[in-house]
Amino acid sequence: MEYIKTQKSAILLVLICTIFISIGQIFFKLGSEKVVSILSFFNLFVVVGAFFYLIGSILYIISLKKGELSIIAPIFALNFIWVGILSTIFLGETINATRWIGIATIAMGVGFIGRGGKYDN
Amino acid sequence: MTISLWSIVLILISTIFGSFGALFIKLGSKTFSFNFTRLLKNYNLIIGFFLYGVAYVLFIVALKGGTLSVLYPIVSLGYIWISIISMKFLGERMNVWKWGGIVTIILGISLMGIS
Repeated sequence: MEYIKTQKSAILLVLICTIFISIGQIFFKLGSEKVVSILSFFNLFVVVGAFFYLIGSILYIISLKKGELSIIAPIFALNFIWVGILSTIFLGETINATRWIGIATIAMGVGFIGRGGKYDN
Repeated sequence: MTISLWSIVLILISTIFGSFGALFIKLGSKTFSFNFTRLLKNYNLIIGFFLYGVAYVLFIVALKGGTLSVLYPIVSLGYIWISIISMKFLGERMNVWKWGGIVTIILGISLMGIS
């Protein structure tokens, strides 16, 4: 298989993708709390969440087209950061010191991955 | 902090499904277009999302037997599988930055799980 060097656009795309996926997850979480029966599963929150998932998935596929899997997939860990932050805003969760350190560590790790993508090895 | 063996096993299986799912989506991305009929024939993509779905279901089930503080770190091990898979099946090459990033991310996810 020919060697594809990861393009900057691919990294940008997966970044946006993680934002969409995390928003979708929040909507799913909000929607799942309203589930009483199978019918109520298809409430507005779940539908909107599925929409965000769809957009995110498309962005993911396109970013994989332009970049290495070993670069794009780990960047997905940013999802943990967004969900952590969005959970505090929309789900009333709190971020303690450990969580902040975890968020910073993930961010650092993703930075390393990005740096690893620039290597012409 | 509760752990049960079956949920750890389930999570491990889940990560394997998830990482192979990523591989198939990567393979399928090569011929991806917004053409509906072409999409239906993009078997790699379909298999990839199916594997992702299985991985997700296994994860949800595993959550019933364990807390995130234990399961999150194991999930993050999936990034190691993906790196190995990308080397073996896609000919991608790892370097110290990529491995360092993976280790750091695993550490970060574990910290988030504990919090």
